[in-house]
Amino acid sequence: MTVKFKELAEQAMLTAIDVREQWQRDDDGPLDVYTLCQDMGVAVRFVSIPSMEGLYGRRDDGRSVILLPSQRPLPRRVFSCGHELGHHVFGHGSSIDQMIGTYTDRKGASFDPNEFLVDTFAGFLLMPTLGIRNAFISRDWKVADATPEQIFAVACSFGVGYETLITHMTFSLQMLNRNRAKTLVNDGPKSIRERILGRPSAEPLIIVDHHWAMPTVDAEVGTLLLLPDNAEADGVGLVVDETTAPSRLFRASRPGITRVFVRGTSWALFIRIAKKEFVGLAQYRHLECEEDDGNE
Amino acid sequence: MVEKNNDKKGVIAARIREARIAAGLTQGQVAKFLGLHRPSISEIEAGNRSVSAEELVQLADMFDVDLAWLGGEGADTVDPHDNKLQLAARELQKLKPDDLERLLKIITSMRTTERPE
Repeated sequence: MTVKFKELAEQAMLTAIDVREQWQRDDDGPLDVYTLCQDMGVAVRFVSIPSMEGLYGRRDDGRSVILLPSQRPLPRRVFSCGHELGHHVFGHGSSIDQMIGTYTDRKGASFDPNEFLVDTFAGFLLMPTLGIRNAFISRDWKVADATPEQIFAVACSFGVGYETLITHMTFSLQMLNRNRAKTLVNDGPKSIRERILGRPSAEPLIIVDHHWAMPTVDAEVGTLLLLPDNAEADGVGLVVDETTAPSRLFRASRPGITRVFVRGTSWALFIRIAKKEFVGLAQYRHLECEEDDGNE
Repeated sequence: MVEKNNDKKGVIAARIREARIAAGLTQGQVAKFLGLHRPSISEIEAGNRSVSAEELVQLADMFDVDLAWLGGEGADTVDPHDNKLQLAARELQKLKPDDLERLLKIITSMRTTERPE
């Protein structure tokens, strides 16, 4: 069987553009994929099923749900959500027993056109061509000689992982050649975090700069956020992290929504903090909760 | 008959608790949405307080679950041969048996009726 990668990629790109247009998202900015799903009538649930990558389910009455594992890093969940939304948009799905049978039969199979299609769809939906170009131009950075830290910052601004952005820029947008991509991937987020923080850190880091295009930043308790110089935070959800050198490094400390701003400028954003490994419906992930709130 | 009613009340109470936790809400948050005190939710989940039809509709909407399921109808887990349900998932064969069971339980509670406007 000849696999028509180019045709599938083109179909994925055009469909992603159509979805953005149909649901009134601009054609070049980052988007909140969970709100998009909600607008499209697809419920998103974070579940504690670590061995699952993600799942799309649809009943014959049209009700749809996306299940995402709560243990995965935030950027991974965002991309998986885009991937599962692709299954919804392209009308994919099989019955459970067929699926278990099919997947058992297909053990060892290396390529599934539907999976390639929805992966590429998720790439274009979350990282539109124009948006990625503009992200570099607006920061006065050149893709050709962008540093790993710069690519990491752009990945943060689109809510996706560093490697996910590099893969998309290499294979779908063809902005990076494979050798460069390999070098960049080898210098991964762990080393980038260490250089920025001046110490090794296993905690996720989000770089939020003056060019951040969304009004919100999604984080979870424990996430480190590197904000612009002189940034301040309202409320108690975000605290200054004093364990490391940069003075504008904050740590998400409790669920809820916290405003950050730079005094004397128009720069302000809302940091939406979820409980670590939140289990539940996506629309409730940033609700504040009292300590004695009867969680169990 | 009384025993049957108590059984159903117990099923409803258990499903409300299960659906609330699966929605990621605390008893306090649910109480706030419904305009009740937190102990009322605790009592409902313990099966000590009846739920009105109106409250059940609000809870199903809030938890995004099927109203009939929340009201105690149907089985606890979905039939894998149910053709009404279509799934797309990667590497389903890698799921551990416990995880697959949990997955089927979550899918069982999925809405099948339109939300009231």
